[in-house]
Amino acid sequence: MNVLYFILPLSFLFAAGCVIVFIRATLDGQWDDLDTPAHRILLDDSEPPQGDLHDR
Amino acid sequence: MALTLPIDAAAVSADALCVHCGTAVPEHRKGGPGEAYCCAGCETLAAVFRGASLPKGTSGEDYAYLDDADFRRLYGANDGAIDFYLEGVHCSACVWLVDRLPQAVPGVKSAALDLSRSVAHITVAPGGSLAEAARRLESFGFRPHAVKDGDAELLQKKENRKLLTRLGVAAASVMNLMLFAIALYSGAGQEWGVYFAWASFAFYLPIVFYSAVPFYASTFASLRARRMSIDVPIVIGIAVGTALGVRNLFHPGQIEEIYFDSLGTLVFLLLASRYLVRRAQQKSLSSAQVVFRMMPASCRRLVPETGRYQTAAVELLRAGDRVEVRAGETFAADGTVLAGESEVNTAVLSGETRPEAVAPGSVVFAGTVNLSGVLHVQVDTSGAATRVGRIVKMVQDAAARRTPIANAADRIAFWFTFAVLALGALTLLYWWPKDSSLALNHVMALFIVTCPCALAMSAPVASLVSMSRAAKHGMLVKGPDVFEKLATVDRIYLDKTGTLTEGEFGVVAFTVAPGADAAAVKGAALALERGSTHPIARAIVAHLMAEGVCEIPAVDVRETLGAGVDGVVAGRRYSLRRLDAPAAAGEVVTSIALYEDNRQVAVVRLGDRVRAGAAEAVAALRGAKLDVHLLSGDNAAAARAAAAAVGIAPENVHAGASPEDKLAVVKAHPGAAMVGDGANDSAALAAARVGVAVHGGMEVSLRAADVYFLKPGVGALPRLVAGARETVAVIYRNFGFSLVYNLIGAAAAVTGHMSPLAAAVLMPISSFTILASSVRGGRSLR
Repeated sequence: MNVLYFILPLSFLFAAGCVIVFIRATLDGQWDDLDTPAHRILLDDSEPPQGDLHDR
Repeated sequence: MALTLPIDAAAVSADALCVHCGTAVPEHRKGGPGEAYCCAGCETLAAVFRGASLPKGTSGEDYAYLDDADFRRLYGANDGAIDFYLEGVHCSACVWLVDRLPQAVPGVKSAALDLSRSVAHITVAPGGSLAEAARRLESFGFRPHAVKDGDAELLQKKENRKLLTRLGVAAASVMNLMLFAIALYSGAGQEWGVYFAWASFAFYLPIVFYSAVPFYASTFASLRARRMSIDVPIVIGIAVGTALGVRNLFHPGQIEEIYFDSLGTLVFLLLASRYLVRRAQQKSLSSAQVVFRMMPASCRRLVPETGRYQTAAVELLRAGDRVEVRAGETFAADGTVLAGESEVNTAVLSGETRPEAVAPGSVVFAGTVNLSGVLHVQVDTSGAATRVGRIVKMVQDAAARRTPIANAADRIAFWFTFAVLALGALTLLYWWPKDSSLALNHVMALFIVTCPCALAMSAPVASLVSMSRAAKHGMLVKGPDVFEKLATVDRIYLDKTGTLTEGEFGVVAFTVAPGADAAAVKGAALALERGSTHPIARAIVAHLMAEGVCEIPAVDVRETLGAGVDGVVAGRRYSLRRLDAPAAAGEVVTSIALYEDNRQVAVVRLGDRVRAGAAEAVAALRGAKLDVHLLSGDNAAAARAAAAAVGIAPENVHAGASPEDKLAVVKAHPGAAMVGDGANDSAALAAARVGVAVHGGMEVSLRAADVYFLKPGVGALPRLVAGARETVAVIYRNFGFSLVYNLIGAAAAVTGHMSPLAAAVLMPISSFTILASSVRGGRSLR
């Protein structure tokens, strides 16, 4: 059980690390727009096939 | 596939799905000819896949002003980055199209669409053209409006991030706290108990010194203003609980009673509910936060050096400038007509459906629409000094001055806090002489068991649930307090033009004289009116096309402005003339006569038709014990006719009211709701206890109104009223629950029958009951 004296501060550090990552993501605006990324993931990365968007 | 499904045609039309992406088609895009698309993005993409070329934009705007140096400075777009509000973005197809803008337009560096706000952030390389990008966006089907990157929006974003950080820190800490709390409650023993208690304390510190700061700030603010708010008892609870917990840290005998976990949970839950309410509120706001579109974004201004007209942003117009306004365009400034003759639709300002004739010397106002001829106008006042600008100012003032109605939760919290504090003091006085530690324990149990958590959350959660349900029914509600205000409304003022009526010319009756050949007469009328852009002509053409009338070729068609149309059809001379008959006959605003070789063969009566469902809605509102009034800028005869058609008593009709009059009428009755859609209503909408903006109205009303209807007309109004009353009933039901629970709990705590631990277990149970009751909500909006 004595391992708890070591593990507990470790878990504290781990939690602190997670919180720091979360704060950084928040300040980067990760959660500002929760709707568009859900749509963007559906789109292909490649160029549109013959999707010629210029006027013909 | 050979599989056919038995599809009920009626069901499909009622619940149509987009041909391209398969999501539901919104109401306003239904009913057109051909296949149904959910948005312009899908329609454009489907066309491109079929090999069609992109359509030209329909607004006729050329956006050249976007590349103007003055404009870019004004909009902070000197670095080539600008935000556009895009009309009609809706689904993945729209995201795809907008994100592909850099490939479609050379010079565009990046494009990113924020679907939740309908705002696209566009960056062009130095020398790249914003105008080109805007034109392409319009050809995709999304009309762009440049957005000034407002400080308010930026501030709001920062505030959101800060609140979310506090929430995240609280969440992480609380989850860790729980681990130790379970160990402690299940009997961790002496040595581990002390260790776990100190570990809990470590995780509790970020909550009390960081996450809970907004509660301290608001308590401080409300105490300074000598008000009571729900945050005051929360802060007292946190303070007492923390003090007691820290004391027990040093008393190994009471190490289980350190409350850090329950206090942390309390802070986390409160922050979470506030954050959710805030996001929901901002979402409904930003859908309504449409760019100020009462005035056009650009106009054609005379450049004196070259003698030519060039597009310029409206903000850059100054008194003395000369502008050209073509048929169908909106005036950008108040001014005097120098040359040209036309008719002007002034409905925005006056509510009058009848066009007004203008000639050189006439005064025209920003926001009104030029209907038929080209006009050259000298600008007298521009921007905020115009009549529309002053109305907008009135809206802002009325919205700012709106007296805050103390909501029920705050009122109850006031008494609740006093009662709990008094009880606590009494308990302490009674128990202290017997046993000081026992006395503190009982007081702590009292504060925990009477924790106002449920009280603080029940009203926002109930309103939030109703808000999201209302949105499903096409009603965007601006804030959680709207339901409470709406439930106390006893009178409703309805606007006429565009609210009860369709707000545009329609054919009420097409009467062919006895003895005349109906097919020939109608065919001739269609042939004559076909080429005209006049609203009367367009209404007649739409009516005849819907009837399936065959067009007969006409020759020598001549339109005389303000007089009528002449032409020769099948060898006979036909002419359309306006009849000078009195316009007061019911819905009819104006009448047109068709002459065949100078013999009158038909009379067309045109007017503003009452919307389907308006009469039923008014009846339902009267059934809900509401006093329904009509408040219109139109003349008395037209207003009374519309009132009679929907069942509003003649003594409840207020006609001929200017925007200023409407404001006065609404102000005179503080318990009234206002339903309208024009700019002429916006001041009244803001001043009313609850303002409801009906779709089709100017976006300025949305800034003033509390509720915005996506579907045109007042059909949804009775549901909204019933929903608001049920929401308030749910809130009071929750208060009832909470009161009963708190009374029993407090009695047990004060008499020493409840330990703080039992109280900490009971608290979440009561919160859960109340949350469940809130989420269930009322019936009308489900």
